[in-house]
Amino acid sequence: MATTNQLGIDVEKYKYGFFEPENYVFKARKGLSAEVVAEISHMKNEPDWMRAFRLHAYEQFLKKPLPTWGADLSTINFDEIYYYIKPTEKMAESWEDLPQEIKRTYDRLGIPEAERKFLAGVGAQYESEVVYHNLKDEWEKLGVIFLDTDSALREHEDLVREYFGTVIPPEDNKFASLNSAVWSGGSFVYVPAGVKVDIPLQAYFRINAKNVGQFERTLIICEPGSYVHYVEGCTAPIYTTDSLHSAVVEIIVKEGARCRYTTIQNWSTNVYNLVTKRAVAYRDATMEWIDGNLGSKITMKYPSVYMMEPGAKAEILSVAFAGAGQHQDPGGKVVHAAPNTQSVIVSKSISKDGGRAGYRGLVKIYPGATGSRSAVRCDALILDDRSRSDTYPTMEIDEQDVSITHEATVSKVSDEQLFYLMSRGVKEDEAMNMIVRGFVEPIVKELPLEYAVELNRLIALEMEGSVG
Amino acid sequence: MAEYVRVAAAGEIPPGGVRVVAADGHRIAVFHVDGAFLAVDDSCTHEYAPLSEGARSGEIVTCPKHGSRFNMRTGRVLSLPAVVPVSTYPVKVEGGDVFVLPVPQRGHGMPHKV
Amino acid sequence: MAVPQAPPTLDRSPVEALSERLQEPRWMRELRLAALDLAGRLPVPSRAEDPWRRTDPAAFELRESRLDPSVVSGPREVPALPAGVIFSALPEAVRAHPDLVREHFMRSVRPEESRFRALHAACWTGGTFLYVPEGVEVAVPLRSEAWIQSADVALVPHTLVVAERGSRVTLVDAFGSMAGTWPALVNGVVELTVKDGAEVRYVVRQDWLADVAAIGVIRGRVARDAALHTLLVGFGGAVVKTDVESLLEGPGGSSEMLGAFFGTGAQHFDVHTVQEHRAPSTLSDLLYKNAVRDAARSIFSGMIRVHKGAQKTNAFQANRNLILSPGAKADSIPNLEIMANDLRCTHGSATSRLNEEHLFYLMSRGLRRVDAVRMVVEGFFAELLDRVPLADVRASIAQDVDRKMVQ
Repeated sequence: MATTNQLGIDVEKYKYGFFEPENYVFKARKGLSAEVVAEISHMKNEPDWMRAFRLHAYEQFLKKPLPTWGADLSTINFDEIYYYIKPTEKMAESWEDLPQEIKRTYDRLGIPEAERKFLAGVGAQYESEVVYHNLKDEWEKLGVIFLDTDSALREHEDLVREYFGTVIPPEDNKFASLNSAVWSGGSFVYVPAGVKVDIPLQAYFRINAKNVGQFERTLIICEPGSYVHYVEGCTAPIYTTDSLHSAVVEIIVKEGARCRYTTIQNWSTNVYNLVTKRAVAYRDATMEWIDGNLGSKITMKYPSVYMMEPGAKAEILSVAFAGAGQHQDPGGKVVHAAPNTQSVIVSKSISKDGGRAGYRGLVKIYPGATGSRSAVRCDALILDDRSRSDTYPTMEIDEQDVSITHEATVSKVSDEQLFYLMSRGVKEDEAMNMIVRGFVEPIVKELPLEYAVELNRLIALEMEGSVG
Repeated sequence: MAEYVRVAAAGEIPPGGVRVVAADGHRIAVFHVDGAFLAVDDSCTHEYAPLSEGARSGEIVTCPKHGSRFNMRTGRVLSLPAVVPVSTYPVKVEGGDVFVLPVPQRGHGMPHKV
Repeated sequence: MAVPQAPPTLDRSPVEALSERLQEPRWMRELRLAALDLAGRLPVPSRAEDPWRRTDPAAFELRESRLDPSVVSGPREVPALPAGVIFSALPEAVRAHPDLVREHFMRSVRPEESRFRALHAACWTGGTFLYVPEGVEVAVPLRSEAWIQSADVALVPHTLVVAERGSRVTLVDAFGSMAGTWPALVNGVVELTVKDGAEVRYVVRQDWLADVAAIGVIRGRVARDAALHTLLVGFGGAVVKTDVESLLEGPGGSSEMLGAFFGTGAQHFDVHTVQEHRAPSTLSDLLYKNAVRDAARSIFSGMIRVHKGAQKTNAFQANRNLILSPGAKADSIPNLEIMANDLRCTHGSATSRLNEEHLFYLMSRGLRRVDAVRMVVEGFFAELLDRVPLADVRASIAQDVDRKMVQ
């Protein structure tokens, strides 16, 4: 029996039968069914294996329960979401062509200057497809591929098929199933062996239509000895109805390669942000996740690194800021499956105005992962007595020859610090701001300059009016 | 020395089918794949769900719990979240009966690597 | 998906017989039967859900085990005590001091919390009652015990301690069994009520030498300016699941929580701790140390929960694990849920193996490896035992460590 995908999903099973769309013009409509999934695939003119993958994933989505832990997801109404909207706009060729309201949001965050100075390639996700993309010529010459994932599927089908779903299969969890069924957009990055991409690859994502779920699908492949830094940022204006963002990001870091993935998440505070991000790191490879979560109503996101071969390393830096009505439940997972692997997780969370922020994580050491080391450090700052901080780390250690540490502290902004700053003539709100900035500094300094600037601005924005 | 254990008459496991046997403290899933019989531990190396209850396609079996894929012949992991290859067992067919040797052979192979 | 097994239904008759045999007043018999009824209605715990992901709840179901009140359980000896102090076996106290027992029995730990708690309330077989009146200080440590000497017995012990305002007392509870490979079941509850300004020290030495499956809870309620010190030493049993909880309910209350577990062979220890701060200016300080060898597994999961308004709280939680051989496992799950902002709260967890350099140093001083390892393990627990001002308890625990080392 020949299978045309890596995952053993029966293409024949989904080829015929009742999934054929009756109407070849896609009607955007709310809710999800096998027909909608088949139509999405049809609209995108996808190969049969991808259509089978989607339909198979949809079946899994129906079977999987909602997680019973973490944030309250019972208010998500899956029937009220548009799962696919074809953009009426064409791909924008340049910054000037971008819609005015996107530019305004970006302006406020200082993106135009950043673009002039640093942005080499920009992919901006507008509704469900990438509207605008460019990539420096010299990288293309080196064989680097940086495309939206739909285009990559058309232009590099074999590469996509080889890796797609092998890190996060469609059965992994309910939201990975959902994404696998209805994914659209996202980035595909392929870095050939030995190539070091020295400027961060960046893409801006935003939700800008009511009830549009964003289901981008990102796949990054770092061949041996390569390096890439991918930067994902999200900004979204405020809407009155709830919106769902459920991405899947799969990363493969081969021997001696290094990948850094940076996210500054600033969805509007009505968005459910339920994202599965996972990387595999092979011999002596390094995976780094830098994950800042400021926006959204609920974020559940635990970037993971599976260290498969000796010498692999993982680093996860996580910042969460929860204000009124927000529940940030981010964290990280490191799986040590081979000897002499190393991981470091640093989490900083801030909660204020009744918000709830924290850390949830897993350190797993498999038998035989001798000489592995893991250090987890979580710090939380609670700015008022209405807010909440949670720390839920789990360490599963099945090997004796290891060193594992976890430390966490929760504290308030100390009166001494405030007093000291105010005695030096700093006003209270500015002093508070400085303390919070100092608290997140260890992570901010890991960001590319323009993102560091943006994160500091976002935090200043969040801190506005926090001193009564 | 462990000895081969009878699983079933070859005709009792239809193509694409599976039979689970317990022998010498091992729970072994014996799959019928394109005329061959392949045996692996009936337990996903990730969270121990029974692979005999997973979907099959060719030599690939999918864990019903989180979707880890394994090659039944080599034990190779084809997709995460499993990271440890599944153990395989020698199988022979004699006189129309399928026998399995309840001695686990370490599986080998990672995803993304040939 | 496996269909959960139907819970074994429990007859009223053994419970009625037990109540009869203990010559209980009517209210206690009714309490038992109501709890039995409740147990039948409460859900059977599922492995798919916390807190059962790591331990199979089926191990703790009463099936064939006999409810045997003749199992030794209660004070070991009753020394001369200050006036008003009551220290007796619980069944005796139910008869002699019904009002006092009724006021406190199964009040901190409630039958409706879970099926196992309800079964405890229905089936408790014995235990200890300790009451210390206001302002009274009991100078000598009191000792009680529960001892299993035959197979297939269900021991359901209940320790009930009430320390009135400004009183002080120490209780050392010892649980053990004859050695053997036979099974037995234990479902225990300890309720400690520490009223304003009182101080209670409670030590459990648990050393089942048979294949005992033990589930239990130790819950202390600590009032204004009161102090509770607990030490839990768990060396025995096949499968042990214990909850240790301190509820800090009055300002100025404090709780010191110490635990030492040593698993060998295929032993499985699953310990969950709770430091629950419900009042301002409260302190909790926890240190749990687990050593595992062979195919043993230890699970520490701890929760610090600071409620709204519990300002000026200090809460500390530390878990240290020592893995002594390949194949042993130690899980650590230290959680924080913080709903106040003016506090200091830390937790730390560290897991490591034997330090080879340390061993080499000891061996270079002429120690055999086995003795060097023993010294390291003793040193590992010493930090904890040094905090317990009970010399004989420390000495006997050190002996137990030695015994485990040669097993």
